[in-house]
Amino acid sequence: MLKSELLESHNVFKYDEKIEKAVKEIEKLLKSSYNISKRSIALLLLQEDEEITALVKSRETSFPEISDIIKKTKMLFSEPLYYVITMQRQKKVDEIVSQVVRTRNNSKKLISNWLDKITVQPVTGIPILLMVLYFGLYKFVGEFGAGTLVDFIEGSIFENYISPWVNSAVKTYIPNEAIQELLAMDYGIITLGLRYAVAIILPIVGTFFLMFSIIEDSGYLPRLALLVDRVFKSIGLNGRAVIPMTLGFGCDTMATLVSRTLETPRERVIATLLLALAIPCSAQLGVILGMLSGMPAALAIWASFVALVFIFVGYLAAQVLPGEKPVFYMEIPPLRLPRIGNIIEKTVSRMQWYFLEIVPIFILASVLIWIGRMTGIFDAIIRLAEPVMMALGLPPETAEAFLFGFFRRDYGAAGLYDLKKTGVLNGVQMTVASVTLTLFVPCIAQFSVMLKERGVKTTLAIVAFVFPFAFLAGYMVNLILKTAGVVW
Amino acid sequence: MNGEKNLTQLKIGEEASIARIDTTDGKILKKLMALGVLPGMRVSLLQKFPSYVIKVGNTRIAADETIARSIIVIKK
Repeated sequence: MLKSELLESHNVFKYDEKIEKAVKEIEKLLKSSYNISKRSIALLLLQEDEEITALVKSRETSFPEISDIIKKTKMLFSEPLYYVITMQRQKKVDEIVSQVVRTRNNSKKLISNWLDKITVQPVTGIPILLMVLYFGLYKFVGEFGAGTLVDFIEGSIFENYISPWVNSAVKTYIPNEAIQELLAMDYGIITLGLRYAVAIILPIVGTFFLMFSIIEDSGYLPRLALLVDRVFKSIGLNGRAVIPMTLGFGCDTMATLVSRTLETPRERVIATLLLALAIPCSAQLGVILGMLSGMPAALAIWASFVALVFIFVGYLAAQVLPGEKPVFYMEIPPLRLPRIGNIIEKTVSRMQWYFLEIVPIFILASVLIWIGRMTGIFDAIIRLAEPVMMALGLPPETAEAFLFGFFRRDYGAAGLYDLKKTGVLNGVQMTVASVTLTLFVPCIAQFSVMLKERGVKTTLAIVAFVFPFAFLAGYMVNLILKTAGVVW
Repeated sequence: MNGEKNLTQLKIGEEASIARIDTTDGKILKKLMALGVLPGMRVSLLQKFPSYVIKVGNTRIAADETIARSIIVIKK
């Protein structure tokens, strides 16, 4: 069949008489104007599309008559109209395709077929998954991003050039000591807020988003979803949730936003809870990996404890929360070599989103910290928190890192990193602090997205659970390590 | 009808024709149809664990036990 023939008006595709009759009748009753043709509206109404039905109901006075036509047409078929219409359309599609498309077996696809196969079978798929995590997350984001890049930007550029220069400039030109502290010194907007944002967080999320884009474009994520579906079912989610969960390792705020793509409200609540509790964001992850990298045992304890909490709390939530059980189905695209242009575009736009979201909050956090310090409120809170720190076996200085952790999760982790560098924390304390801080409340940005996406009630319930749970978990880790006689 | 099975009863590598989708959940039906899982299409079962993987036309689809059970096939 020729293209011109296909496009000729007498050749327009028609459904069977019963459907066409209903379409004509409905078309006549549609008085208002829509963005798409009346025929399309009528067909969607027959297929009971929720959005279109609601739209037409709100616009047409003749809606009861339209409903009547749909009801009568439904009676003519034993199957749902959606099914009938799709089948008729598919028949036409097959008819056209069989005339113009020829398929042949391509032997060049051997390697990609082989790759396709080994990534979805558990025996080979799980080792591949671990390799992706090890090289992608640990080596590239952890060691290169949080190690090499941070050392260079933070250690070489900021500490040697920018910070001293800002400090002396502020001292020279601004006489007021309080304003000096607001802008510079230990907690200033520039020397703390901007330094953390540009020197510590940016390289870490940048490397993460780059890796995530590569994995995303290669078509690997659906394979991951099918590998973890069974495990995710036990925590009330389905394999599809692997996408927001993995993204959470980059930025929990962005991941909470993405969790709206999950199908049921129950899944969205569980995903939000687990993101707030047990998924460390890349900045936090980077700092913790950097901090514990010298001690493989501590790193292993931290990772397995957090993973355990993830499964345990997810399992409990799945038992407690009412709602329908999730089902899983997903198209598995072929593995593809990602295009560099697309990767760069995605990474840059994600970093841009992150940076625009983060810098104002970092500045705000610096200002709040400044106010808190100036008014003595922070000292009071820190003094109140010190006994809690002692109960966890931590030095009182860590209270500050935890308090700042609320302003930014990664802020807190970066604060711990500073404490490690000055030698205040020993190995056991670092493990306990890392576990507690990972589980601890989401940062301000994540908190605000949670409020927007899940509502006040759910968010407060989640926070009320997460807060005591994090400290209890830290207490338990300390107790276990002490009882086992671990000395690092 | 004679010879009807659901997808989970096929062996790996076996091929069959889709007879119908047996589900009371309209959402599942719509999604499967949108993915091209339609009666009359040839389907082959590629894998059962950890998830079912099937091939319909040129599309590969992963599905869990519930979905796989709802796809009724006839072996020819």
